[in-house]
Amino acid sequence: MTTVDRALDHAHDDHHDVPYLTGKGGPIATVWDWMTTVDHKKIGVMYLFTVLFMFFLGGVAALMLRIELFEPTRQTAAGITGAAFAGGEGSSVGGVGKFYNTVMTLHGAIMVFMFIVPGIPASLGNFFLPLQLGAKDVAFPRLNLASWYVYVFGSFFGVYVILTGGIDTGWTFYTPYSTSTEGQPQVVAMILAVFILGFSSIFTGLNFIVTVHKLRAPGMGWFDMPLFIWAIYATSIIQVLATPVIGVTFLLMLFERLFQIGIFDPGLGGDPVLYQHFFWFYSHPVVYVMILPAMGIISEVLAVHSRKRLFGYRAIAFSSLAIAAVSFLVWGHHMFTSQGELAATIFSALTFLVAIPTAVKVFNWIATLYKGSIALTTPMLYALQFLFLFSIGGLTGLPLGALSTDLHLHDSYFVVAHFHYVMFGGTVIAFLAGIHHWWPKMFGRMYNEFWAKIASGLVFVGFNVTFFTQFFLGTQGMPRRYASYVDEFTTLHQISTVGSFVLALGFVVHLFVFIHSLIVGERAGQNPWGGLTLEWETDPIPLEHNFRHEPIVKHGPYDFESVVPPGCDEKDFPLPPQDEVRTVH
Amino acid sequence: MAHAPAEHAYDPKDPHGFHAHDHDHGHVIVSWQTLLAVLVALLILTALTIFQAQFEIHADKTWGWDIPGWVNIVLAMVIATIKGSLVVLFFMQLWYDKGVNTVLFLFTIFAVWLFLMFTMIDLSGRSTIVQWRGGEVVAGGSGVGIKREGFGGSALHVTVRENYIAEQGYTQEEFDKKLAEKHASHTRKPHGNSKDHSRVPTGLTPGLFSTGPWAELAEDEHTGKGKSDH
Amino acid sequence: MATIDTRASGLTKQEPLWKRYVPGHHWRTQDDEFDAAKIGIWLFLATEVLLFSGMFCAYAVFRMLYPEAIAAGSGYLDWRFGGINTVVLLISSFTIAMAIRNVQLNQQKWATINLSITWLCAAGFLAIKFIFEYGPKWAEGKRIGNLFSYPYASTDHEHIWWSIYYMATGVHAAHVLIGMGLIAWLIYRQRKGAYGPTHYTMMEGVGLYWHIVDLVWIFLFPLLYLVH
Repeated sequence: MTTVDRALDHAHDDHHDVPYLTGKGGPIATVWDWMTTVDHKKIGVMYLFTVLFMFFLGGVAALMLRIELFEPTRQTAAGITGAAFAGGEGSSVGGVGKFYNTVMTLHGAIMVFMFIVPGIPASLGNFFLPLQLGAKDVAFPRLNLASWYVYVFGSFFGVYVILTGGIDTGWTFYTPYSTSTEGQPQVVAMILAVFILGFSSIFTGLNFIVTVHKLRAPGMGWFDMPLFIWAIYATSIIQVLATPVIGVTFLLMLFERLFQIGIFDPGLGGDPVLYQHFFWFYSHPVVYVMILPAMGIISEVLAVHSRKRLFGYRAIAFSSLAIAAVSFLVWGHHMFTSQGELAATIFSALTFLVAIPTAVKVFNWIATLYKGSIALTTPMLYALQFLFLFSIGGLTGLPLGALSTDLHLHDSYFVVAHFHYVMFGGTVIAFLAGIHHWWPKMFGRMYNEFWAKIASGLVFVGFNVTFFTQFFLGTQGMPRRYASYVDEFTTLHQISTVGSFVLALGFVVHLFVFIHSLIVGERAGQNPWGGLTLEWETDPIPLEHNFRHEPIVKHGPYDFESVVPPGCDEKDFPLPPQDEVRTVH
Repeated sequence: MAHAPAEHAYDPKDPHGFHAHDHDHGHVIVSWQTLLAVLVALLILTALTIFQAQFEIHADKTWGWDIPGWVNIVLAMVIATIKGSLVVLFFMQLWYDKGVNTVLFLFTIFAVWLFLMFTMIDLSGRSTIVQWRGGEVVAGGSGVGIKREGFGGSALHVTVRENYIAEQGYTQEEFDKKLAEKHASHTRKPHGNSKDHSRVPTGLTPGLFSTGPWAELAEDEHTGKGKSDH
Repeated sequence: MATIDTRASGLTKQEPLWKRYVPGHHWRTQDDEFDAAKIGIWLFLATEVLLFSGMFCAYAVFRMLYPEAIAAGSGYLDWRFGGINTVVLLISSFTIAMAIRNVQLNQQKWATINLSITWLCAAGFLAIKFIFEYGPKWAEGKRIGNLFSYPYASTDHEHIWWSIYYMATGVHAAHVLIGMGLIAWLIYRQRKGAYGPTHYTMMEGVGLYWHIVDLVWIFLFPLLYLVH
């Protein structure tokens, strides 16, 4: 994409022409600059680190769950056996269960509300959406910063409440347990924390929609946008339309706990299934808030690292919107056992619609790889892992979407395995692909490719060992959310626990790779992968105002067969003989 | 995806040609006559919807007409929708505005519709296939689960009433008389018909109240059998 | 969000604030910024509509489950106060639309008058609500949730009706209160000359917000006061 000097390019103030990572004099001035910045790149980086910190907390909780499940807990005459965390109030099996439930709530609430929902859009999306659009910033920069502060406040408040209050409702806060459980006034505070987090989500989504509408670079039509942007755009629509409903749900719940208004509590005439409808009207679409940006990253990574035009650009773009639309039609499949059969039948039929746009994406990605010049870099490895793991996750969703099989599998470890394959095998793996893909652009340094690949291998093996076993556990009848189990499940649980530690080891290696890169990593060039989207036209570390000149888009984001990547030598990325190029529009 | 170079003259202030043909969009000045006319229409419609509701009560009292409940709600909602549309189109200027805002608003309404529709499909059709699912939580419905000093165990309004009678030193007859007076002063009596009631409130979800403070209530009730009259 | 930058515009301090307004650095034109702000406001309004949809959903469900309680509850409300409040809100919606028109035509004095009427209508709405509706009802014991203590209840589930009533109208009243704050801010800024024919984004935004508050009431009024 070419840049043109134009008179309109107003006189930059000199201080805007430094890389955005450059400090502001003293350390205090620099910190103050970051804390008050409205620069989408800085906010994106701040989001990245806070989100990863939350992922760390949630991961520790997950490991604690797996340690507890290493052996079944038993009450014997001599005391409790098999309980890893029997101290404190855990002097009885019930105490162990209570502790387990608290840790499980911690894991669920952190991972869902504080890591995976804001995860990709608020960090990578914030950083790269304006860059890929060729904009100087998002539409409402101050709202963007507000979003981060609201997120940080809500997150720390929430974590504090769970840790001090021992909330054991699970992340779904199902009524009547959550509205009537004794001795848990902290549920009110926790609901408030999630309510607050909702605002951050809405701010981000609203900002991105307006940015896409109004700040595209000259020459960039809707179908010249990179597919990452299409995915983020679809995500933002869901965020704006679904999040307010969780707001009103938790508002009603708050009053239910404070004044017993009797809307959700059956002991007061309310309907607990109504709560589930309210809750899943938000929380099912939000599943697609989690996965859609991941799909966007995969589209980018596959195209760039196989140096091939994405197959079926429009199909992938529209399938993102289709997923967003369908996401509002299928929430009832979380409640097959609690709702009436009529609604369940309708929801089950609609659920299978999701498979269509999702399959469109997967087939297009695979077709993209065909005859591509595939470079097995770390991001590409993760993208390939995504295709494999996400397909397993998607296909295991079918027996859960079918009414008859769901009655058997409902609330079993099969469900746990299924959504971890989608959420971890899908979203987290794609997040890792995205972080590695854009790491050089964000921090101007390369990472150690060898060790990153080792880490990605550990993550892949660890993840599969942890969760594939849980499919077996689930089909054999192991229910989810239990602190103990019958002896027959011991072997499978132990394999799963071992796997979780391999997975954790993979992340530790990743952490060292990142720290190593930040300190002594090799300087990255402007465009190490030869990408064609606009973010690769910026300086190695983007300037505070992003582009030296306002970019004008002259080619599509994936015209690899006809365009030499910006900032690259033609020798490194040779074009194919032009008479052999067949362009498909 | 070939990228066609911009055909029109490049206008740096308007790179997408957004404003090539619609210079006034976004800055419409609506005439005061239009605004006033809309206000008058809204006031007339408000009067109409009030009249409609009052007429029904009047007709019931005076002539004994039993207008089905759905007429009332359909008319009220139609009028409210017309009023709402007037506000959105003219006060909020969607009539003159860019298409994107209209699309956005329609999507919002669509999402609201989905939310209400699917929830109602479930809650109203719960007994369509399996009868016992249509039962209602009778014991809880009257608020026995309330946590309040001296409450719980029996229905909320019953406890409230008993406390009140004891407090005021009324006899039952005195209270009944007062009760009748209270409700005589209300302009309208509850519509007893069940034409628009999606499910008849009888029956009890089996086992739901077999434990806890309302256990004995559940024993009096018919448990287990589907009592839905559908 | 007016960032006033006299340096770049080259206009002197004698000019009114709205003439000196300079759009944010990332915008190409002031029109772009205005359009974007408007899309942003509409998205925000979408979230507001969905927030209230929860209340409407709860209403619909409990109307279906406990029709007698809803009918009885509706009978306790006096349509006259609801009707007056509807008229008050409709008028305020009209005046804020007129205020925007005034600003567009640089009729600053009329804009102040119309905004003030809007603010007074909002205050009147809340006054009627609290003095003639919430106050007496609360005193009688027609209260929310477990505070309910009205001895003359005629149906089993009246406490749920009052819960829905207070939640729906309460959240709406909170929006009116926020709107009053915003309109007061508008009056203050408008007196300072911040809004004029070329820059009135904030006015437009608050106006749209105020209309949506009106819109919600247009549906709440028949559902709570008239339908039975």
